[in-house]
Amino acid sequence: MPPYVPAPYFQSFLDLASVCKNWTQTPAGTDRRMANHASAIRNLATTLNRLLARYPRTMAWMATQPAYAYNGATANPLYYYRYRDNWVNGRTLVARLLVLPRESGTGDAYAENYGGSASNEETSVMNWTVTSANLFRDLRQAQFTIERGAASGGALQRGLSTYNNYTVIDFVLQDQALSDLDTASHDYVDPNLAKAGAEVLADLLEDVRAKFHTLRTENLSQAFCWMAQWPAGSPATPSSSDQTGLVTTSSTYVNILDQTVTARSATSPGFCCPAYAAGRGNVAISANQILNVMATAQGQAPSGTGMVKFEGPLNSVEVTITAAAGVAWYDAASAIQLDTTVDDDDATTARNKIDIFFKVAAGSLYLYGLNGWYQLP
Amino acid sequence: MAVTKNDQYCPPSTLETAADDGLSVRTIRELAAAMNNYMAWAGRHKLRGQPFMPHLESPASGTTETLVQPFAPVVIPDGVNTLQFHAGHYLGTGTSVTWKLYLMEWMYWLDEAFDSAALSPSYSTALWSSTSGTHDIEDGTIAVVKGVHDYVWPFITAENAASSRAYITTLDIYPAAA
Repeated sequence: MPPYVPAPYFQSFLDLASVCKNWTQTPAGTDRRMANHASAIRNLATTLNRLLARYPRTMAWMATQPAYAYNGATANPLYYYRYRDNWVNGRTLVARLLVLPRESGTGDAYAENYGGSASNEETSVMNWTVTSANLFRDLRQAQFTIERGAASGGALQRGLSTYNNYTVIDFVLQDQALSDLDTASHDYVDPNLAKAGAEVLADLLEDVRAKFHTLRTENLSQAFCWMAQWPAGSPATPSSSDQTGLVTTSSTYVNILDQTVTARSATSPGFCCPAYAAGRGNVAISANQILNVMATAQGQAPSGTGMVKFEGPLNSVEVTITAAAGVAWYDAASAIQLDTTVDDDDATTARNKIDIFFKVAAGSLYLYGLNGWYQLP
Repeated sequence: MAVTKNDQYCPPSTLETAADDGLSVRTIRELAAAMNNYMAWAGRHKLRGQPFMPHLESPASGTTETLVQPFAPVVIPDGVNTLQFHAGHYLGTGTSVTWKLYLMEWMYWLDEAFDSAALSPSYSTALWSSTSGTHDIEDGTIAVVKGVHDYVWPFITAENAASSRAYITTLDIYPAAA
């Protein structure tokens, strides 16, 4: 077995009719039972290698309109985010950024991965000390990679930390798309076991079945992501006119994106999530036709208990922000359910859209991060 | 066996895939359908599920098409030819604002005052309008245009009608269903 297994680039749906059927007819029209061909398993194996290599997940994202992001000489914001990463597959993440040069100052300006302490994963330095005449013409692209390593699965927290007025306009964190799979560190299947003319036994398929099951059940999409700017690495008292956080003083639920909106409707602000046919189980059983989204919120409520409600088409779940505790992540105890029978572009209240509401018993509730990710029931 | 792709995933049993056991057509058929389902539906990872807070704003004045928000490049899996998007938006003042979502094969970085002549030979666009002060969601699709690499650079422009201004609250983008 070579150390690297090539991954086919092109997607084609599998139609194994010619090599996978349990009967055939002779020219005289007599039915005869047929065995499987090895090529059917070979097709499954190469397709799975493609799925393992070339379906990158997007783990986090953040966008700021340049007019708001360009904070001049004072801002070195830290952005916190979370995502679920149960699929341990040696996968390197790539952080891509659109950035603006700083207006003044000396020394290296850059961004880096922040996992609770400084790391060596960072952008190259950018030391333009000129006043930007045009926020768009001066836009630059940068990136760095984050090695997955042996980090345990579950909900991981990372951060994007900026230094010396490095101004991030947009940030996206995505799996590295691979051309081939390293047999030392990635999941793969060996299509060469299914040689033409070889005996076809069930254990040839077991490797495909087991690794596809892991991919299909663990490698699922993120649903939504928002992260606040923490100026100089500390949470600020949020303002509605910048990205320092979301704040409410309402004692009844209001939509985080428009506090005049108090109820979910077909068009109220929220996140549209694809779910059609993406669940697990027999589609003939209605109870199976759901897909879960797990939600988490980062915030604090200095004076009174805060509540965050995530409302989907079928149910809603609430998160309690402990009064007078520090800034922390709070996970929903149960899942928001999406309906896997609803089309992606359904425009009614049945659309798979998740609205987020918040309220507080006394004082203010501050939110600094919101993340949700798909999980199979 | 025809191509099937809109069945939910039913994990194939391990009972008949042990060493030296017979291999039924059914097991292969289930796995093929499950992989098709992953490519067509379940494996469509969101490229964005993005709230804008503060809301994305069209220009404070002017009636020319203007670059509003550029996005960092994302990898689109090969074979994905169309993206589905949902944009939450509303009109703040005036009569109408036209939004355009672009996909380009490299970064547009020329100017805030949008110049379509600077678009690369290959780009795609989808447009919608904000004409109401109440929240609305645009459900649309946009063709994927890629160069020799796997990346696309999305960006959004806005064009105000006279004395108009509008806002975007959310943007969700992911591969369209096959």
